[in-house]
Amino acid sequence: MGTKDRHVRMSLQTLKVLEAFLDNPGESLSGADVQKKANLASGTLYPILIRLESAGWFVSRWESVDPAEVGRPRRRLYRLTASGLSRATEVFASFSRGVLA
Amino acid sequence: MKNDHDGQERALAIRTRHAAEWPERLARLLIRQAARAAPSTLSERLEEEWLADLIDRPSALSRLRFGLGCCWASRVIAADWIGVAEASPAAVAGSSLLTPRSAPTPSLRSRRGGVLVVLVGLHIVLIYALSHGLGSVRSPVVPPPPDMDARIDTIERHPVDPPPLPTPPIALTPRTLMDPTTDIPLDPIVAPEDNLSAAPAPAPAAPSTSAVRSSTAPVDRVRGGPGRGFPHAEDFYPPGAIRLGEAGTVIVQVCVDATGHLTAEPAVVESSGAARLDAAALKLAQAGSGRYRPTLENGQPVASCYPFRVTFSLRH
Repeated sequence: MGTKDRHVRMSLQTLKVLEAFLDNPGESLSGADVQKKANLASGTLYPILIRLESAGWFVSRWESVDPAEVGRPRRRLYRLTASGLSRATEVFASFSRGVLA
Repeated sequence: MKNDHDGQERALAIRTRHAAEWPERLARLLIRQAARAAPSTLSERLEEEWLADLIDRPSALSRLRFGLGCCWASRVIAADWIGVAEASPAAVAGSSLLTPRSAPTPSLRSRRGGVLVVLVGLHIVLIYALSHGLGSVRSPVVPPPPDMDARIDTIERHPVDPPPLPTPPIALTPRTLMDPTTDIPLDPIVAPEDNLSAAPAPAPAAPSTSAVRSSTAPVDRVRGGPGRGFPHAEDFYPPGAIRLGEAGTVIVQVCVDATGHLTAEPAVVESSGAARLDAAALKLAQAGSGRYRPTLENGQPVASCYPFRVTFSLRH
């Protein structure tokens, strides 16, 4: 993998985060959404999101809503990049086992 | 007398409101402190992000937990940053996220102090929560996931040993790949497509090279399927679906070249009725690229499209 990949530790928690995104790879998720899907504590989740973003697996952007209109602050949304998607798929494939033919 | 009573009720209401608000205020305070401890390039962003995500926490206790978690997260992010900066200063300098210019340099002592503050804070919060009845706040009980079973069904099990050719050759009716009942018999051993006589057959629906034939000679055809090393379907069973008890069968159509690699995106031809199971089946089909057994025509591997069935079921 690339230079940036050295910072991605493929822990069980990281896999859970990736799995949350692989449910619908085109979807943008906030940290709160991922927390619900992956059932991880905030202390674990956010470092993983930042790590994966700095490694190029995710991109993030602010939600394009007017906080006054929706009555809540705008959220930070994360999305898998194309390379992130292919690498995540590779990771899950490498964890698969056995044969069924 | 009535005024006294109203006054007491108002005071009680204010006290109740304050008691309900303090966990959130404390959580916000923790988040602001945590964001300050993060690398300065991320500090503002994390504060805004965490405050926005805090709103989604359903209970007072979970908001407090969230705030405490953010304290920990900022320290981990800062530690990551130091690791990145030490390992590859050049790589870090190019990153918009983690830049070493003005990030804090938490010494061992300051980190230890931070952990101590968090622990003391946690104790105070717990004691307060217990004394004010927050101990009765319960998170919903999630039942343990039932045993699951997920499998992949192919159409035939003996791809290199097809049954003998019938005489005369059977002329098949046009095949519709969108109708899986014709392509996937319930009995996986029966393989009616193994012998094709293409003389009267019209053009099939899928752009399969093997399906478009002009030869009049009978073709000994053994349809492909998931082969050796193909991922296990159970590994793709979405945890959310297990928790919700979702089960079902998805029929996925794949186009595979002669080496067993996908040549097009897999597609669902028959849904399980549960979107996440359909998505999981597609992920499985995608992950299996290179592990498909190609279709054999007269013993030669050829490119082709075929469906296969992925079953997700729960054992109660």
